[in-house]
Amino acid sequence: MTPELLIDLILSISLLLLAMVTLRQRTPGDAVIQLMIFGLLLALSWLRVQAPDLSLTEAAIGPGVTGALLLASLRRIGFHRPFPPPASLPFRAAASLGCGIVGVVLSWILLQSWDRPQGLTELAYQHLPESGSKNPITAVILNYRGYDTLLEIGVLLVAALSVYTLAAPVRGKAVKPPGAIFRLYLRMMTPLFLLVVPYMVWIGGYAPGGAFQAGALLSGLGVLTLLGPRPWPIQLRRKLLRASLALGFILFLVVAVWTWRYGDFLTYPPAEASKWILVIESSCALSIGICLTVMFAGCAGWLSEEREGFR
Amino acid sequence: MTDSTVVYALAGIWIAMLGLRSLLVNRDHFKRIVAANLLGSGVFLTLVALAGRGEGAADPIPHGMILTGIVVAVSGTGLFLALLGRLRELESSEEEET
Repeated sequence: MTPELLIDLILSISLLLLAMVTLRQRTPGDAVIQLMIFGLLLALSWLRVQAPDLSLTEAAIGPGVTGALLLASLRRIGFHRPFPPPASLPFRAAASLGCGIVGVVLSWILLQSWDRPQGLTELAYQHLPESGSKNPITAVILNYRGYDTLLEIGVLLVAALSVYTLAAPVRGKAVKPPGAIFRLYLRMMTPLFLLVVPYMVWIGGYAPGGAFQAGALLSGLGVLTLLGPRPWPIQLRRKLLRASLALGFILFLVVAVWTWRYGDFLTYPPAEASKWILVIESSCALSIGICLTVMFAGCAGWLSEEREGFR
Repeated sequence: MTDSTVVYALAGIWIAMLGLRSLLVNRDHFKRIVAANLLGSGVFLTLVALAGRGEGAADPIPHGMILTGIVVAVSGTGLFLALLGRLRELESSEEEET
């Protein structure tokens, strides 16, 4: 047994066990904490399968943003309220049997097809010089499959707007003012975030990084700021806030229509590709960050009009 | 089969199945959201392992898909949580009235 295999075995078995432990927790608070640990370990395991881009995103979004959203909404749902009992025993047994059979079949298919040749790797690398990006993943999401990413930013915008419209204040629960250590931490981290976020956007054209990683980091800063003494992201003028929510999607759409004159929807000429990718990436990073921050504020009940400047 | 990424692909399948089972048997909406997140993570893990198998560079196309998927999953989670929070508020205000 090689050391690599040993690490892979330990990591994947821990992931499985953590998933089980997460689902066995009796209160929502405990389940969220376990899920966040699972997310961190998942990010670690993706480094082992040659996916540093995804690992960065998962580390920021899995334990970070998803964890923050879940914890924030526990303010309204109750941290320690135990889960109601699950369905009846026969139904549970049937569900376990069904999922077990599906799992066995999927594992069998996976092992059978494991040695088949790879899909489009060669094609993706072959056209990399014309794509305007030296990072193949950035080339995929913003050039080859730009259409998917456009729609995805649309999904994020629709979700953020829905959270925005559903926002209502949480009654009778005042937020404790942040302590001195948190205020110091926020003061130290803010410049660092403001430095790393643009760097992430820029480096995405060459190495692991890009709009999603930058956006996720920006939302981390947003969440920290919301918890701090001056929650400026939701004290922004409403029009400005809404405009920055939609900026990424609108600019992406404008670029898509603008490049139509070169032939096809979202087909950039190779000479100009890197310029358009940078425009889309910077605006999308901003919008992703603001959308996720607004979602956090909405889940925590801090978004409603009557609590503008909620503290 | 010397490639050890296969263990991640298998772990991913079984994490997804654990999430699916929990999604089916639990009645609590919050627990279902947690289970749906695990289900998604399992699927992502399998896909990433499939993209990274064999020698040479990993396949960037599934990576792009998963990157999109992660962001869509977090949007969905946020939306479900906002809906759930609103539902709980409506329930508690109904209790107050009666």
